[in-house]
Formats: sequence, C-alpha cells, structure tokens
Amino acid sequence: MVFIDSIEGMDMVFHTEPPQGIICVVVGGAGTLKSSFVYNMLQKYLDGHPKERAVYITFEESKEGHLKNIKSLGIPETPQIQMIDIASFKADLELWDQNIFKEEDYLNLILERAAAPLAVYEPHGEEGSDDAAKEFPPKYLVIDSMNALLALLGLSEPLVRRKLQDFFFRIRQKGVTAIMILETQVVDDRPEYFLVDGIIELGTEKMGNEIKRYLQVRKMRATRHEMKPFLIEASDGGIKIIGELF
Amino acid sequence: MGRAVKKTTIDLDLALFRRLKQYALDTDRTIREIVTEALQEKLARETQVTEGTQTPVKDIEDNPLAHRVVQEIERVMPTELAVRMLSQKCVKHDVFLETLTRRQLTKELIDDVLSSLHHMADDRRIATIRDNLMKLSAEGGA
Repeated sequence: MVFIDSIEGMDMVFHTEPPQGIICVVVGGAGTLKSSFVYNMLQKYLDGHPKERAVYITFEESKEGHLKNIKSLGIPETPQIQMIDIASFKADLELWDQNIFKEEDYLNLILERAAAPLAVYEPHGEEGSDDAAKEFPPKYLVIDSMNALLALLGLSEPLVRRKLQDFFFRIRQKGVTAIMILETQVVDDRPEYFLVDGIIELGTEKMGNEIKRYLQVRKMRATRHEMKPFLIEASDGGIKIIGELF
Repeated sequence: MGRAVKKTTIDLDLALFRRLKQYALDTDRTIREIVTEALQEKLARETQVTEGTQTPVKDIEDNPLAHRVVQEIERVMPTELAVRMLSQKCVKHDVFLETLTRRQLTKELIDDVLSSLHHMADDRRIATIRDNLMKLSAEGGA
C-alpha cells in the first residue's frame, strides 16, 4: 500500500490505506521535503510492484535538479516513475516562440498523461517477454507544484475554484491517485482544500536550538488516520517517520 | 536556375547605413545578404506573434507523412501541442509541417525535435520515437 507501508513509520500515521483514485495535496513551506517525500513514498511502493507506474510532472524545477535533490537524500531513481519536465520543455520551446503554450495545454497534458499507457521498463520487463509488450496506464500522478500550475494558468482567484473543480472531476474519472504538491506557509483556507480528498502537511517546528521536521495528516477521506504531527527525518536511506512530535 | 528577385530602393538613416556597412565588412557578407536575413527574421517573428508557429491540426491531415510524424509525437503529448511544437521545429529548419516531405524530414530536424522531447519522456520512449521517425525520413531508407 502506497501510503501505509511505503515509508518507514507511516503505519503510525495511517491505520487504513486511502482508497485508490483519491486526490491529495502535500502542503508545506520551503525546505519541508515535499517533493522528496512524495518521490520516496512512490519509489518505495513501486519497488515492490513492478507492473505499476507513476507519472511525476514538474512545472518548476528541472528533472535533473529534482533527481539531484532526491539522490542527495539517498533516495534511488526508479524508471517506474516517469518524470515529465514541463519547466525545461517550456523554456526550450519558448526560446523560439513565446506564444507556443496555451493555457489549456497544461491541464490537457496532465489529463492525457494520467491515462496514457507507459511501457514496462527494465529491469522489470525483459525484452521479448510478455510484460515488455504490454503497457500499463499510471496508477499514480504527481503534480509538482500546484502553485506553478496555477501561475501558468493565470487564473484570477474567483476562477481558480471553478477551474480546479472541473479539473479534479476529470482527474477522478481517470482513476489515478493524484498527489499535488503545494507550497504555502498558510496551511488553512485555500480553494484546493475543499475540493481534495486528503491533505498531508509537512512543516518545521523549533524545538530548543533545533529545527525539527514533521508530517501531519489534516484530512483523508475514507481513511482512519492520526491527526497528531509526527517527527520525520531524512537520512542516507531516504525519509523515515520517527514518532510523535511531542 | 536562380531564384526570382525584385530590385527595390529604400532610404536608410545615415547612421544606420554606416552601422550596416561596418557590420557587412566585419562579417564578410554583402549588405543584400544581411538585409534579406534581417527581413526574413522579422517576418518570421511577426508570423509567430500573430499566428504562433501554429499549424491547425486539420492542415496536416492531407499530408500522410506529417500525420505520421504527429502520431509519433502524440505518444508523449496531446495532439494540438504536438502539432504546434512540430510546426515550430519545421519553421526553424525552413520547412512547413503541412507540406513536409521525406527529404525535408532530415536527421537534424529529427534531432531538434527529440532534444525538446527528451524533457517529456524517458530514454526508451525517445529511442522508439527516434527509430520510427528515422524510418519515415529519406535518411531512414526506403
């Protein structure tokens, strides 16, 4: 199960697994390991599920920059997570034509990728084997970040909720579990919160002279989970949940 | 046979003309070459601003080769974006997507398309697209 038993210690936070097809935001300020946490969680889960795939769409940071970050935390890159680097693709094309991207392209691209079949990759699918000939649609979709996506859409505040409502409806129809990364210091009262099924907050807390990182599930529909904050730690082997914060 | 030309006379600001003449000397080119290039670039930019380098999807349907090339790119992005990206790449290589021929689908054009596409897909998928595009091009054989 991707949430409950991927990252070490997540079983302290979740007592049941969120259902497949949910939309969840991972929210927090800068430096709270949002991207690395999501990648690590999916990578650990997928490692034990060779036929499953995830698509990770990055709108802000380049693929190379993102992979460098996760590798610095000892999180291995996996071919089961297909990285789509819209940031670099857009920069590359806009060198020649500033108007090549239209606002609807971004949402269409996400929706199309959420349902597009992905090949079975080495080392899991051997050339010539039955698996190699098959392609599977992704089960998990990551959008990094919602802030960047919304900025590209250039929507005014009243339109954001309506547009997201329609977008989330269409994402749900695809059946993928969507994890959206949202950078904000203001954890309450954002239009996305009312529309999503789950909110996982990552934050920092000053304890004496030390700054500690924590994870807290603020909302997860159809799931039994703790509401308390849990201490997280990034070590050589990736991210771990250590225990309750207080 | 040479291309048809039309002689014309234009008045240039003297300072601009002096800069142009110096630039021609520095780059070892004729004033005619530089003015032609500058006009082509200006007109291409204007076309992009008003129309984008954007070929409507319906315009490629009459060209089976362009249609097949778009189908390859559709493996990693929606059709309309694929058409716009390919149109842009074609313009960069002085060809038009809607009238693309096998001879115009050069290795350089394919490499240029793939250099952007590699942000959107893994190496294995890019390799598949590359193989298929090379098969479609004149350089890919019969």
